[in-house]
Amino acid sequence: MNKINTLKIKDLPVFPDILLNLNRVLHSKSVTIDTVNTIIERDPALTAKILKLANSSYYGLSYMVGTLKKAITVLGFNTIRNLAVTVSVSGIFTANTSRSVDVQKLWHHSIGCAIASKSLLTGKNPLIQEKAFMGGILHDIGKIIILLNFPEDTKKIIEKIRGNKLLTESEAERELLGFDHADLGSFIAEKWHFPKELACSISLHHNPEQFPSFTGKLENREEAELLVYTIYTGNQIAKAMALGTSSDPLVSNINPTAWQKLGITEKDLPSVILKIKENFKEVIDSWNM
Amino acid sequence: MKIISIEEITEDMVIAQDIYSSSSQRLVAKGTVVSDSLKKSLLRYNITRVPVEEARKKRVFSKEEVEKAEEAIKEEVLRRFRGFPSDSMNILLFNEILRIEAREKLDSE
Repeated sequence: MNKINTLKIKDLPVFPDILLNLNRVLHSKSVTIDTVNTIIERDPALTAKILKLANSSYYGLSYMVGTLKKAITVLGFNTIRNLAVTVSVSGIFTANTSRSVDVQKLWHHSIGCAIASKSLLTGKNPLIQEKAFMGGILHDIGKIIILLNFPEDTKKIIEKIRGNKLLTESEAERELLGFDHADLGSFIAEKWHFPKELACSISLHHNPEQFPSFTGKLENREEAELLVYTIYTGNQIAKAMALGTSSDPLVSNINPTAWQKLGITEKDLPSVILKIKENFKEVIDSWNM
Repeated sequence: MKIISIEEITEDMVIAQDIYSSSSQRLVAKGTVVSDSLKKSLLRYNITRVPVEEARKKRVFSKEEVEKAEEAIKEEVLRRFRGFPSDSMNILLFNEILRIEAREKLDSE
């Protein structure tokens, strides 16, 4: 992480003040619908986009919500924050073009990881399901920042991994930059005031087995570990099902510990996979991102 | 293609044209298979009549057709997995993806 600080990354994507405020108030236990409504409504374009996403078939509401306040009431603070972040992060991804990385497909891969991660936790606490969705949306944000700051190195990284199927993107990034996109993404998540366990799951999304040696301060280590294994598995499944395209698209055998931590058995897996496929199609068709 | 009332659509039907809301937002893409959540979503937007494909109801394929489709895409899925997986859960994941994508291929033909 020190290397990231010393490199003085110049171009950090602008994370709207509205979302920083939202992240701050959602840390508080006394947050109200009116507070969240007032913060988001300052941006009419963002409000309109949130309503469009909230009314998509992915959320399966039995009636159409016409106001933000109603959407917050029906879907909850964390889903609304997720939608606001999804809209903003979509802008960060799609505002960048590159010859070495297909940014649109990488963004769809992030959506795929978010959907897969949330689906893996079906039946669990809705709050952790929403954190898993957010983790999927943000897990590769470090790649975009590397692309913005080091376009020539990005080209070399992609050439290296295409030339050597055994080399991962993280390994190539470390060789060239001294850190990888997971380190950088975690650093950004903290800077943008996301919960610590989310930053941890971004940091370990390729190496969940390293969780026991994670020294950062976490409120609930058990929940953080579940989130780490969820984002890791969601990422691998998104690659395996070709939901979008990662710049490092090959799948590693999913660590058997992940299925145990998630409580997913051979009996459950087929329906989970089918649900992910259907949800991804629904979202891509109706969100137009 | 035929246009039918939303009450008549069933989960074995395929949408024949993109469907848009009154504010020009695309709600459903052509080729989508009708699901319960899709039906609910259309009702929320007050869509009462829906274009569906007459001939392309959810089809039943023979074992040979499925195996042929799986064979055609197997190489691509193997490439993603860096070869055939080594443990039971990963093998199951591989086979499920192969099955879903083969079905998708057959549906689109």
